[in-house]
Amino acid sequence: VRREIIVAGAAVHLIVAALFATHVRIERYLPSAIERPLRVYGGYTGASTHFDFFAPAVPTQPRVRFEITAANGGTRVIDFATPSAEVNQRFAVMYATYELPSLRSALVRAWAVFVLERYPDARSVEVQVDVLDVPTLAQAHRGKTAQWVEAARTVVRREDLQ
Amino acid sequence: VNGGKGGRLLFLEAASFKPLAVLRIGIGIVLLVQAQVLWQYRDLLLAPEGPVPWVLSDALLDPWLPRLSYFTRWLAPMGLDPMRVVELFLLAHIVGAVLLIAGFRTRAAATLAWATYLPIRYSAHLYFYGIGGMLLIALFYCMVLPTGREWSVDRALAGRADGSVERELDAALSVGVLRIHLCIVYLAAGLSKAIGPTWWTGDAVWRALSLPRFAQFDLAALSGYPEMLQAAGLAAVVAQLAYPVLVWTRLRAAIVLLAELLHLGIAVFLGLWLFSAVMMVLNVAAFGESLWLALRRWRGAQHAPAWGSR
Repeated sequence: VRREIIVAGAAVHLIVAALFATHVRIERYLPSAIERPLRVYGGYTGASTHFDFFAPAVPTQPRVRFEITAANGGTRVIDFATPSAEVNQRFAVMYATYELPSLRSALVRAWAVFVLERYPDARSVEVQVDVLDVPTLAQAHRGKTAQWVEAARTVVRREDLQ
Repeated sequence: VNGGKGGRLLFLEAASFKPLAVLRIGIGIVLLVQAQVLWQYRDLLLAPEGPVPWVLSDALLDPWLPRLSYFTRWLAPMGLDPMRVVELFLLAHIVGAVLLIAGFRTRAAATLAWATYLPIRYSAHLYFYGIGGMLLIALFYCMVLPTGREWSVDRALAGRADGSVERELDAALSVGVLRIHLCIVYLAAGLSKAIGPTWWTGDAVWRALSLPRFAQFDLAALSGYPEMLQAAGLAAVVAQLAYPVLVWTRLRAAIVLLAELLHLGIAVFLGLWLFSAVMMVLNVAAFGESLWLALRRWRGAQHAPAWGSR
């Protein structure tokens, strides 16, 4: 009987994993009484992971540039690049959440607060978000190169945060 | 789907717990490498007031999922500031990973690594890419499957394990679950790509290679060879779609090797070494014993052992 219970448990686990696996956001179509327990279960086991890496298309990449202005009027550009490729990769993932309109203003403010706290001499910080315009393969073959296109620019002053 | 000798289904082919030991040791090593990165850059990736403060990232999570802010609140009366709590969790996670690799009190070690990974992952969820989910899947299996029965301190302390039929079935069932889960992963990943036209034209591969976050080499000249990029895109889609079918046939060795090559390519050309390592460990754990047997047969061994000498 113990073995049958284990097999049944494994089967249910795999069914949940299959349900959430594709790019289709199945959670949007399930009643919340079912969806939430499954999603939480998946949150503890990995069974609610969607396997849509690089799919159906490879999204572009944003970059964020911070220019701080000191009290004496001097400016300098800073970034969070580290010697660790893994950390830089994770920062690129985090910057990519800028694509979500509902998060944009909160993200920009959070980045500005972090920069101003790290640089006590800074009076303000200009946060500039650029998005890479990657040419198609055919365009690249004809000589077009990738270009950074400015998507947003916001200035946050220290006094605005108080 | 005949598995050769005795007509056993390939699903029940695994004959030892060594594949699960590979999973335990491989995932433990990846956890340690990741923990080293998280420790070194904890002020950026895990600080409560980092570039993405916890108050912002926590708001996107289900309240039932653990995150470090819950623990900092509970531990604050003891005088522990939030960064000390972060360090405690990271250290406990590292201890769990080391014990997992050694296979000492394996289930408890895996549980410790899993229980500390969850709040670390969810507190920094905006910094986790595909590796976050894959590591959780693998770590969960390290905890619930009998991963400490081979190549472990637990095994050495317990003495020689018996080779009963029940024991073999247990190994087969455990490895079978891993196999089915990998099939789900590849089928879903393949279908998700197949519906995107850019994977059929080679543009998706070109785009991935063009993004600075993945750039390992200057491959701009590849735009002059669109057929090559198209072939790479098609190979990625076809390999992922074919995987869940071919792993149950005599072409298993070929498709698993192709999948491993795909992950090696992702590591070399896109720099996603940790993610690729997790996928390669999962593949070796699920099908490595089969490949070992195939290799032994290819080399003409008459009575191949299960995986190494037994």
